[in-house]
Amino acid sequence: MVIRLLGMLTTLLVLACALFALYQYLPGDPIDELAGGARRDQESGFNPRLYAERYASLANRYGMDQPYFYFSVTPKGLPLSFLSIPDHRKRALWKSWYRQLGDADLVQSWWESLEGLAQSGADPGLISAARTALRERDLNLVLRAFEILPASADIPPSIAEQMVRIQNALQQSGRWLGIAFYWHGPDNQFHHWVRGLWTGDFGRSMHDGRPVTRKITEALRWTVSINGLAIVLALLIAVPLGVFLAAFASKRVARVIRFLLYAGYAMPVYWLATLLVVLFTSDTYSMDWLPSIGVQYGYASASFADRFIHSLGQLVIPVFTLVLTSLAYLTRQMEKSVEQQLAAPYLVTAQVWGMPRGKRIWKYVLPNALFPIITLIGTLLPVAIAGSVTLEFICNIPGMGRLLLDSILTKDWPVMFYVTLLIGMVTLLGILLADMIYALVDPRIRQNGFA
Amino acid sequence: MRRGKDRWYRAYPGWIRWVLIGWFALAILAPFVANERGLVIRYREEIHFPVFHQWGVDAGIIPHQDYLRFRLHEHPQDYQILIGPLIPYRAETLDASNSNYRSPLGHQEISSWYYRHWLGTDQLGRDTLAGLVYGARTAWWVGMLATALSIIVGLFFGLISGYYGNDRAFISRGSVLAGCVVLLVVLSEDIGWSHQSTQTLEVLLKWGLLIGLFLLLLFGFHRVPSLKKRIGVPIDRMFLAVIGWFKSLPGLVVVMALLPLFKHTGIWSLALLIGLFRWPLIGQYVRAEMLRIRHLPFMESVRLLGLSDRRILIKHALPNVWPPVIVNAAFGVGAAVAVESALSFLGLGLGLDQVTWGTLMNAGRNYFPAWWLTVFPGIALFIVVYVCNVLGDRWLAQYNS
Repeated sequence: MVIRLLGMLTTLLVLACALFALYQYLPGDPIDELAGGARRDQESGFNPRLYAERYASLANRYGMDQPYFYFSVTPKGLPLSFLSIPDHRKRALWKSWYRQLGDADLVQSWWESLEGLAQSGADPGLISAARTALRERDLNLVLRAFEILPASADIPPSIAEQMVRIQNALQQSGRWLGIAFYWHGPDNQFHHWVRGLWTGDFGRSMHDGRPVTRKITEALRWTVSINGLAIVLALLIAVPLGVFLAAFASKRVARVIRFLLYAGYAMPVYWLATLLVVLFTSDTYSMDWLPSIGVQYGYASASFADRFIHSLGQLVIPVFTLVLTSLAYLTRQMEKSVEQQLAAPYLVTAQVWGMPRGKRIWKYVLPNALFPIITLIGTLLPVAIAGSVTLEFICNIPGMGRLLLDSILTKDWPVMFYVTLLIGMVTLLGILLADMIYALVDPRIRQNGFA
Repeated sequence: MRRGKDRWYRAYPGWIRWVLIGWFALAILAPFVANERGLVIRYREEIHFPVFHQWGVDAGIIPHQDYLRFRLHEHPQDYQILIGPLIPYRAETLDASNSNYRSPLGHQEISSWYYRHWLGTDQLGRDTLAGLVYGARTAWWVGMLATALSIIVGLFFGLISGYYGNDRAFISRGSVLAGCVVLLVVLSEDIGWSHQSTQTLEVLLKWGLLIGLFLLLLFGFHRVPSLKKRIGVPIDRMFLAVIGWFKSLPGLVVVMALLPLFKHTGIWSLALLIGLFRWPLIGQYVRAEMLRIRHLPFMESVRLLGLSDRRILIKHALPNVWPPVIVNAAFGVGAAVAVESALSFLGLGLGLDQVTWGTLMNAGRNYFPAWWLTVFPGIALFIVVYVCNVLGDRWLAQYNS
């Protein structure tokens, strides 16, 4: 048990590290967007100083101005301030420039003068050269870009002077700068993000500024209740159906049912749901039998249970689709499991004793056939959750999948990070729960030491 | 040993082969089946081959020609179709006179039956049937590439973990030490020196050299006697842990979360991500199969003959682990196609510049009366997934028996 829990924690930690590392390489800079960086290319309405202030305060608010990890290994002489530049592209650029020049002041002043040049109303060729230079890592290329400018574009003396300095620095390249090791302690982004998991304080959404925790708990309720309801319903149908198929059904009936189940399995979840929504929630095909999609929010003070019950009509389609897709798999496994039990020798003994067939099956076969099904719930959960992502999108349910989708589309990184992590966590918990139930009902597992 | 199960993979219903061949043909020949340009035309008393010509222009071989800008449904002057494509529209062709959701059953503004939109149009007047054809092409490539990637990676790790297990892989202390030293050197090289160029080729060359050195030291160190003491590496256990990580995550969700990494989502990036979440499954079956044949007499004898591990794995083990791989590949293609269209449906995958089945279905959500936008792509997707599943199921049953 302890080992299982430790394994789960490792999985979560690996996932957190991987997601965190990958998010550092996401294209685009959400802080820049929040601070109104998109207006930079417009002629009017962009105030660089105001932008810089807003950028700094927003970066501070979302903890983006801290170093990534507990420690950093850098070339010697690289100022710590370089490591806490919020924009990861700029950070990488400055680091790269520093490695070419070995002079932090030069890097900073070069950047500033380039920015000034890009903002000024100078020659358009010069401006575009400066914009390119603000993105280009290779300083040699940058120098060349300025060299090929026509003579009419007079390069400001400050830039020209810096270019000479850069030229000199580049000629001395290949020097050993030395390696510095910095320990940042817990004041780093990774620590804050992972600590959020522990304390339940996930920070604020970059999109609307609401606490991520509240957004997620709200969404988690919907996802868990829909998936839970669907799995319970699917089990309630699949278990008797499996027994029926294996023990009672005639060949022809079984074949028809199997085909239907198989078709349900291959049918794309979201296609079926879309069809149902199109057919039954509007008046277009005169079959307006279900309320239109989207759950009832009601008034803010209504409890979740109230809202859930009021939205039952809207939940028919998603739950039905989820049940249908997991039904095929569950029934098939149940059928196999029953078939296996039916071939067991103890049933022959029971038959010889004269035990009636119904009693043999319901009292002895069914409980034994149920064991493998319990572990299946664990494997079914990831599939169900993945399926509910599209369902929440179609049926407009504010669950985890919907939240994830919205956060991806709006570049809401904190929400994206925690939602992915929590979906992983819910899945892991489901698997653990299935194992625990298994151990609870099957004495053999308990005796063999459930670990 | 293989004689007994010979040709088990031939056991599937015949129609499945035709569906797959048809799908493949659509994927390859989509521009010839559905195109807004004629295959063979006469323009100003001269014969031209616009579709082929456009292909050459796209490949950068031949210059652009005047007549390429004409679209069939606009009935250009002096333009005569000798051989037209089956569908005179491409997926992106905008038929302005038939925009705003023309039903396949209703009235359409067309000059002849040849120009009819057999499966209707969407809001912009794009032909649904042409969309299906090009969607088949996207689906094919994503499915195949993702599966191929997952097979390559899964086979590699599955074979290695099954063959070496927890008891056959060793690494000498010296190698570990040398590896650490080389890694440190690499890192310091990259961090400590000021350097001039970040040319990709140079960086690649440098890293390649250093990694080569690292590998050489890793595997060549056992010749040095002083650090010979070997440590066992539980490769199998490590592999199982990694598989556990992948299996406990909902693939679609993580693929969604990783998609923003790519600035532009193309067929390759999508296939890469989908393959990333498929290989553990294949690797797992390969490993199990490998564990099974590991102690069979023929494996023991080739080991006793002293063949190298690589040779044993490629020549003797690989041919025997194929069955579970291709069974899984069949399921995998279906799953990859389903994931691809789900992503496009959500507006995350391809689809900004490419029409896929998913984007068509998404378009159907915006306007309920346009049932044809939802129904037909769904049927196409259903057929593909169903065929893949049946194929996998039949193979599995046949192989198990």
